[in-house]
Amino acid sequence: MINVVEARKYYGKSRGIHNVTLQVNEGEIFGFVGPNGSGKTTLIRVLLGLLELQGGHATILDQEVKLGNHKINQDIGYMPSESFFFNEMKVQGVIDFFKGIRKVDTDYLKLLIENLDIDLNKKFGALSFGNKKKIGIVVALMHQPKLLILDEPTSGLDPLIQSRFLDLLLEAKKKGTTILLSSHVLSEIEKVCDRVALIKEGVILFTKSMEDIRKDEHKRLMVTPNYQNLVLEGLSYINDYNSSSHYTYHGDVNLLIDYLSQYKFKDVVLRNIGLEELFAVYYTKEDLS
Amino acid sequence: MNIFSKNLFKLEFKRSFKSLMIWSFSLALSLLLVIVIYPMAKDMFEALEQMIEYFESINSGFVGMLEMFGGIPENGIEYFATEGAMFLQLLGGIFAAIVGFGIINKDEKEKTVEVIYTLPISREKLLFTKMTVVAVNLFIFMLIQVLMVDLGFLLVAPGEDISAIWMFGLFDYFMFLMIAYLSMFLAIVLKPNQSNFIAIAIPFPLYIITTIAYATDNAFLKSLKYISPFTFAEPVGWLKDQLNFETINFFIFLSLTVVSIILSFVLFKKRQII
Repeated sequence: MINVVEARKYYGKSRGIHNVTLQVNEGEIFGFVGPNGSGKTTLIRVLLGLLELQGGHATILDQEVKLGNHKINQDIGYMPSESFFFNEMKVQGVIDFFKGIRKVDTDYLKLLIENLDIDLNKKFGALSFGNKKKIGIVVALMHQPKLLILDEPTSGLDPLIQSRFLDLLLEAKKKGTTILLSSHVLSEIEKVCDRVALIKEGVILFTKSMEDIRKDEHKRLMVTPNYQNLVLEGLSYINDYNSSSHYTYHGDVNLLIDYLSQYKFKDVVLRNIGLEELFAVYYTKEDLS
Repeated sequence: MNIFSKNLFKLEFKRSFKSLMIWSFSLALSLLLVIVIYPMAKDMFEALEQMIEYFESINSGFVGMLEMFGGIPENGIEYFATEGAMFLQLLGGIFAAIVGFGIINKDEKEKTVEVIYTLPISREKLLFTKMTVVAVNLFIFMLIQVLMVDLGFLLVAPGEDISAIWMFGLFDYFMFLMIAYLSMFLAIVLKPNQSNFIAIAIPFPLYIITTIAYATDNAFLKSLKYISPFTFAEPVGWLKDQLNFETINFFIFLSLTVVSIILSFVLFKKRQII
């Protein structure tokens, strides 16, 4: 569905994306994660023909990605990270405009408007950030495209609407829609994505399936009082904090429990590292090779 | 080949409507006011004629200078040519430049460009539709001006032959279109997010050039009239002195506009967003 090979785009001397290679398969939800300024939006804009590639190549829906190529847009629903529509118009007018340009199923449009609790009679410019984002969601989804490209779609949405939105994505996936979802909210990536890529400073650090990430899960061990000399395969000391020693562990939990049972600690805490914590480790590492 | 989008046209027209109405009616009402005071001005001009006779008797240069700026009008249309039409051209030219520049710049400034460029509409269709909106906007603008001028004459000088005003309006419309499309081209050439006031850089100096070219006997300065579109629709020449239509000047600007339209299509297709 999306195929990017060694894509490069620079803004003057600063790097937008560098040798990015990734593939999004048909029917999957692909998470695209990275800190601010890491190149997520640049790659999305390149894919949509809004920016010109300086090297490498990319295809989307089997068509070569080119600056200003509009032909693929009929099959794509795009939601930018911030919703900018026509401030002087009412929400109804904004939706009518996009409805007039694309082939839209009126019943599905009504469902979206109801689910996202949208007031059609307000002026777009008078809406809050979150309510503007809801219009962005409707515009991206209304024509039930083959491919959805969503850039930070849930930022600014209240938890109820976030949850409804994720349900809409899962339903779209069931109908065969492919989704590229760029997000900071790792809990939503964890909830809906099949695969995920992590990008940092314009470079893709890894692409993994969620299943592999879960299998590969590390655990965090905290022992009190502090003791830095625990030695077991897969156990790595991190630091001391508040009279406790912190370790990461990757291996059989039973082996760890057996090993710890020979010590007399006041407190032992063993917990899973969430996706957020795992990615934070990658964000801060200088050399990931 | 379908290069027009009805939906986009309706959207762009709605977005520009408020500004169109404000500009059209504020200028048209000012023109009406200028014409309504014509009977009072007429008395004043009669008094001036006696003064001019005196200046002529002493061979004063003042008479020649007055002639360069239109002289003493002998009827309502001539009065409009010297008092109203000139500022209709200047302000209309500024409006045309802002409309042309703004229709490209507005999407980039308001950041709606991302959703517009990701529509299933080609860049050629986008630009052509925007050009049509500009043409319709300026047509409505000019129609309101001419109708208001006609209304003014109907009120204060019903006997005036106003057919020349309609012809003048038509030439002004072509001139405003040229200015607007040159401004669109300027917006496409420049980086996004520029101030709309940059567009004034097109009509304002060109207007000054025309004024200088008509107010001088210097051959070089006179030849400058060919680089301004205000020349072929110069109101004193057209409405008062019944001078021949400046065909060379018209074709110079027509050619320049056609070239800038072609280049606009080429560059707009390559326009990236920032």
